[in-house]
Amino acid sequence: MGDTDLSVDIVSSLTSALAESNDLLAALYSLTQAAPQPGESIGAFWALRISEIVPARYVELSYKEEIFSYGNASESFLKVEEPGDDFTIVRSSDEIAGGDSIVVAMPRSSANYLAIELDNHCSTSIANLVRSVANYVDAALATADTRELEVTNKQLSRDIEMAATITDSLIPKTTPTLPGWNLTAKLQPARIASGDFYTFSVTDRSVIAAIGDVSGKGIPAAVAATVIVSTFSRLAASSHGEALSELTQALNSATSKFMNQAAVFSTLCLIKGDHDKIEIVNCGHSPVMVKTDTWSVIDAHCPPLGVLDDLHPEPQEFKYEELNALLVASDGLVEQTNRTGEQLGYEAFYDLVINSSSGEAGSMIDSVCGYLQEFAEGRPQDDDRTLVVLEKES
Amino acid sequence: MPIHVSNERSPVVSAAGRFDAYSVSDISNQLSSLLDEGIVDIWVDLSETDFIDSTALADLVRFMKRARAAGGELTLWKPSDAVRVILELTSLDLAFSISSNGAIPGVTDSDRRS
Repeated sequence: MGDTDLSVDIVSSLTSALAESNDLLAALYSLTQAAPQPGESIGAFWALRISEIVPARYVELSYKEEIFSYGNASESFLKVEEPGDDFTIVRSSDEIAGGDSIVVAMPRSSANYLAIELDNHCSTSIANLVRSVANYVDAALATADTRELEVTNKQLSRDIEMAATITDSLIPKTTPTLPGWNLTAKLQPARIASGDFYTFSVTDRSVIAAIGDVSGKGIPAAVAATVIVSTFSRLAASSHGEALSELTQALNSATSKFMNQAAVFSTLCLIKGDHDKIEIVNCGHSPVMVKTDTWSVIDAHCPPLGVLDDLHPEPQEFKYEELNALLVASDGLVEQTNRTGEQLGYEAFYDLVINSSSGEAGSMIDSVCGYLQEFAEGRPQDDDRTLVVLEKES
Repeated sequence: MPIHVSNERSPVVSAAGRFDAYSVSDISNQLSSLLDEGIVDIWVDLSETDFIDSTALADLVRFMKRARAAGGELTLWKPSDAVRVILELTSLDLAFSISSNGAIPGVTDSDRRS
């Protein structure tokens, strides 16, 4: 709990002070109440009640007179003496009621005071009692504040973990089986939740893959990714017979209002494989690369989702026989920095892909990620990373 | 650091250096204030922007939409090479109004201060 714990010193000081004030019963009761446990504010309440000390407040400085208020709200108390650095003797403005009191500032707040009425004159033991109760109440309330903050933080952490679990559950744990091909995918969030996503829609006619990257990071991006993935799943299920550009436009229309409100956009690469060809639509996503005889980059066909009202991209087609591999990555791989702050960059990433593609089918993701780890030289991951690779089996 | 050049005809908001999640709120506040005042034709000077990330781009998209909905335009002025590459990679150059040459109407070099 740290600095705000009710320390043994504070509790024993309170108990001694109560004992010195000749209230042994109160001292014993205070000791039982003062143990550090949930309910510190209740302990503080009892400490005040037993000692007959009341909260007070500083009202104003008027004509060089300092005025305090406590107890009966209509009664005010004027400062008459300041015998110690941390306590003040005040006298009631009601001359009939008379009576002096002692007022002590609370340690943590100059605006809050404690006060107790004096029977005759200020005794050292009464001053010690008020000072001790002030310390006790202050520590008890600080402990309660800290506990409340801890509870709030735990609830917040639980909510974030729950949101991350929900978004993570939408990312498939396995990839579809495609005869003659090896399909692998990996997503590494930079934080607890990811704005990157990939998913697949499979029917007996075709497979549609969606790989995207929502702008920004963390929970807001992850929530937007969740909306896009679930909307894609719903729309794709009924659109396998339609052109990929129509699915793109339908997805943009269905999600752009939400993205507008959330002030985000999402890059997206849709890949549709049917019996004889693969179609690719690239909405602002990079890098996207295909290998026919050699590797080449697929430029974006249109801006990301959520930017324009209408998207009419022209899909790029490849026959299976001419295609050897396809790679879709997120910019988190390209923009990874090393210890000197230098980014990997697109050219280096393209070279990395070309050099990593000579191994066995299925080994490319591990090869690319392994190199990236070496490049980062221990620097933490800057952004979410997604890599989806389709390789022809030899 | 971001600067704002007051010019009644064509206000320019400049995003020099890194324009990313950490600096985006400065630019956003300026763009938001201008649009709140009813100034809907705004120029964003990206000529000295070293780096732009997706959070900053998303904010520019947001204000581009607000300006267009109000009958105006948010124009990106002379994007640096670093910005231009990102705009082309994402095809956002198809969505934004971009001016790579010439002066901003009503703005002289002496109006632009750092």
